Amino acid sequence: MSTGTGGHPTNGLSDTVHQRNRLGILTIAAEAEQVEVAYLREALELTAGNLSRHLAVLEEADLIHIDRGYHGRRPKTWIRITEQGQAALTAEIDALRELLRRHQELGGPPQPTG
Amino acid sequence: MQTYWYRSSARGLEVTVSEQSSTAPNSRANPGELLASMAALRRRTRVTRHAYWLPLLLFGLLIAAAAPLYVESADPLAMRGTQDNPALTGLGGDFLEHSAGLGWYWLVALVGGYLLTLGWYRWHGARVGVLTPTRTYVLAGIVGTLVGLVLPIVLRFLLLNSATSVSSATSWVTTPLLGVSNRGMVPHLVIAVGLLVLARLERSRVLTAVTVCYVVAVVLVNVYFQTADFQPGDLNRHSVLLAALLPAPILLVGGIIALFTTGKRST
Repeated sequence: MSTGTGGHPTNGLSDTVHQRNRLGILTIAAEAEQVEVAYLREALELTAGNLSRHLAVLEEADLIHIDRGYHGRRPKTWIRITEQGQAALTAEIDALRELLRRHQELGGPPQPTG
Repeated sequence: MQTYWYRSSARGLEVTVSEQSSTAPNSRANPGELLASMAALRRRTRVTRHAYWLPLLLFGLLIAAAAPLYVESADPLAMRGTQDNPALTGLGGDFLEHSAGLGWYWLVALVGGYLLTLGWYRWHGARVGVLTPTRTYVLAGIVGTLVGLVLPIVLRFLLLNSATSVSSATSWVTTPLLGVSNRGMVPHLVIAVGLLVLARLERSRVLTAVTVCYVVAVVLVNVYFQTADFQPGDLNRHSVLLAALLPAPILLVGGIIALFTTGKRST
């Protein structure tokens, strides 16, 4: 996981977190104690295989914890964001906000003169 | 429904939004739109896990069900001597005629109510696939109940058995709180604490607003009793009942509205 420090705000973006689907997974997971994989699949409109690959990347980076279990006879997989995951998501949001601030500064309307 | 696709490029951050909704933006977006799409995902998840209609209705009904225990059999005197009730009945105060029964009722109702709510949130979370973190809520409820049990003892000790300097320095808070306890309304405060914690966990403005209205009603009722200079005969056998019941409709109406809005969203 590459996490920049200082300099341009894009240095604060992590390759692992910034990927669109993984950012979506972390955003949803941060809103709950645990989220079921089926909910993520529906909310992010991903195939089971695709979602599974992204979850593996996030678990490998210790950003989420995966609990595999059963609800009655049906297998259910729940994911929980870790402290590192929460911190990485916060850093990503901070970097995006800083980018937005710079974007607005550069792209804002010209100041009146005279 | 909208689906947001994020990507980074040499020009900065971009997000493309699939067009499943007529209101969805159709072009590549800047970081602001990316942040907005994350906020939309958060909102959707929050709405999915909201289930606070049940605790609102449950605690509103529990207050209403306690009504018979707040009715006195005759017009109460301005002051009644304290009763020698068991310590576990502290939640019922000890100035009311049915203090002991009220204390037992609230002990069971509060502990049962909080545990039932915990079970409800676990069941709802498993059904929709998003679990709300309710541990702090139940902890606040159980600790609040225990504090409510010992509160009258501590207040009376501070007011009557401590050094005069301590007694007079703390009387501004102990006297009104002892009044709340004597009227058997400490359970109302325990419910308020639990709902405030739940509103924080649910991140719901509606639940926060309902809880604030409820707290205001509880405080106003007790301020009225505390500041009014009641003389013998001013209170009738239903006076305390009215005070105890007044905040209940706020929870019931809030719960019913939340139930119908939740039902509308899920259909």
